[in-house]
Amino acid sequence: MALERRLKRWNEAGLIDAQQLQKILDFEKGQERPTFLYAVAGLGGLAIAIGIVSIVAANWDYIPGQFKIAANLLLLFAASVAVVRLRDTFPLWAREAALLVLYGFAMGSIALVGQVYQLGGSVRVAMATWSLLTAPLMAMGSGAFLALIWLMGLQSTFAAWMIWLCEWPIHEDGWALAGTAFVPWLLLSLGYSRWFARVRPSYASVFATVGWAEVVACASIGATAFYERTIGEPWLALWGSFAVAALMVAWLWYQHSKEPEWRITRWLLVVCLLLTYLPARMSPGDWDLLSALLFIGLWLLVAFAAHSNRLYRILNLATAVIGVRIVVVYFEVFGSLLDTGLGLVTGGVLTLLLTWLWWRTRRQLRQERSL
Amino acid sequence: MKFAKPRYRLWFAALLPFVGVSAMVAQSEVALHVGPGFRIPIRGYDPRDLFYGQYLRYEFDFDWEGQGSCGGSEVAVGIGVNHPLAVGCCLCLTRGSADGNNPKVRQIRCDDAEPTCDGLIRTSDIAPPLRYFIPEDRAQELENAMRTRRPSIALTLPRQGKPAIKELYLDDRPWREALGKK
Repeated sequence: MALERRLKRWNEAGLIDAQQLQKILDFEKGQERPTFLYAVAGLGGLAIAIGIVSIVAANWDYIPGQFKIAANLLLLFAASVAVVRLRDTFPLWAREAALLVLYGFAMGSIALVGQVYQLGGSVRVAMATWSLLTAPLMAMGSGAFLALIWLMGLQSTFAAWMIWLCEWPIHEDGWALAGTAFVPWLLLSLGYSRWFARVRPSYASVFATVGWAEVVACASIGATAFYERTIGEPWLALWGSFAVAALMVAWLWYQHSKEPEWRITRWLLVVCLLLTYLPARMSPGDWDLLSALLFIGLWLLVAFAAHSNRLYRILNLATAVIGVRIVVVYFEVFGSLLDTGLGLVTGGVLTLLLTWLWWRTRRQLRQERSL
Repeated sequence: MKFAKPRYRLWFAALLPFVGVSAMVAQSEVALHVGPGFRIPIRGYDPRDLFYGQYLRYEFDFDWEGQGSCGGSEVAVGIGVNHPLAVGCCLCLTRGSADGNNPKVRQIRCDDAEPTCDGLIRTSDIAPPLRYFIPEDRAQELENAMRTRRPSIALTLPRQGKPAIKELYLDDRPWREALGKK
């Protein structure tokens, strides 16, 4: 509808004629994907996948282990063949759902082998095996929902390994931090890779969106590191992660150096990079005010970037996050009556200022949209 | 022939999980049938939370023999204060009976395996909590039985790799036999 309205406006302004308008509309209708159908089919596939894992987890004792294993292998083979054989006859939504079922079935099968043979192994090893065995399969998909589920699976596997790094007997917190901070940059770079966008446009879009969300989340968490003393922590791996992430930011900056909509976004990347890594390496601790200011500054930049790209929902979210952070500041400064009073007055003024700015921006955006 | 290449790729991608799971099954079967067998007493890792979900958390209750000869740098949790598991060490199991029930155990350096050892386990492979998967609908029954009967685990020790767990025993009988059909 938004496109139709815009085209009509262009037609009225004499920029395109009625024939061109119709051609564009016909082209866009041909490109449309029934999002609801894909989402529902994907959910159906996901439900079956989770159901299989749950049935395996029940570990029912009525069937002998060897029979369960044999039946499982037979079914897994049949499902694999079906995914290939029915590829030409199934509609796209059904193929994507079938991939999801096989994805879950593979996890269930690994769990079943672990149960029947009492492997007792860790979840992280099972998840890594599952992720490796299913990576080529999931790379064959094309839909956004499939990409999101795959990404969730990969990131859960990664998280399980990072937690293990922090635990006994490894105690490699620095490596875990370095890895966790690096992944969002990898996702973002993949998401904006021209090659990836060409071969898997929906995957690239999901990777970029999730990458942005995680980059901002990491920077927000990074800003809070000023509460603690991190100088002297043996986290040298963070520097390595920082260097590679900085190269990725430089590459993204170069790729989008001529795009006006990236004008503020480029700086947001740099700020996120610095906030993610530097406080975790050089905080002397107890810099509460600086932490709060950096956090609010980061989200103000997010709001500006959202405004310049007309991402209204992100703008609303950024405003809400800043508001919540200011409320948190109220509680942080509670101490003597003087501190409390000053904190409340300053916070109140800031909140009112922010509300006024948000209200003015929204009005301005509405006016621009109605033109 | 135009679609040959993508089709092969699709076959590879679709069959890889099947091949991988089959390999896991084969490896587990080999581990169960190669190497000496033992049966070692166990105890619940945490009596307040013996059953977590659908598995039993346990640790081995070894019959320690003499002083260990391995001085690991870090000490693992559990398994008795007098015989802590040291990282990077191995346990030497010596049979006391032909069926390998409750073997004598000493902690040694992995590269100093003595000929008297009937089986070797890396300490890292048995660091508690260990898990034994149990059927969901018999969890309570097993929990009660674990408190009143002597539980043990039958396993084999392949030359390479982790111990392959065979069965949970209650009072010298496989747990299903000991508890009877439900």
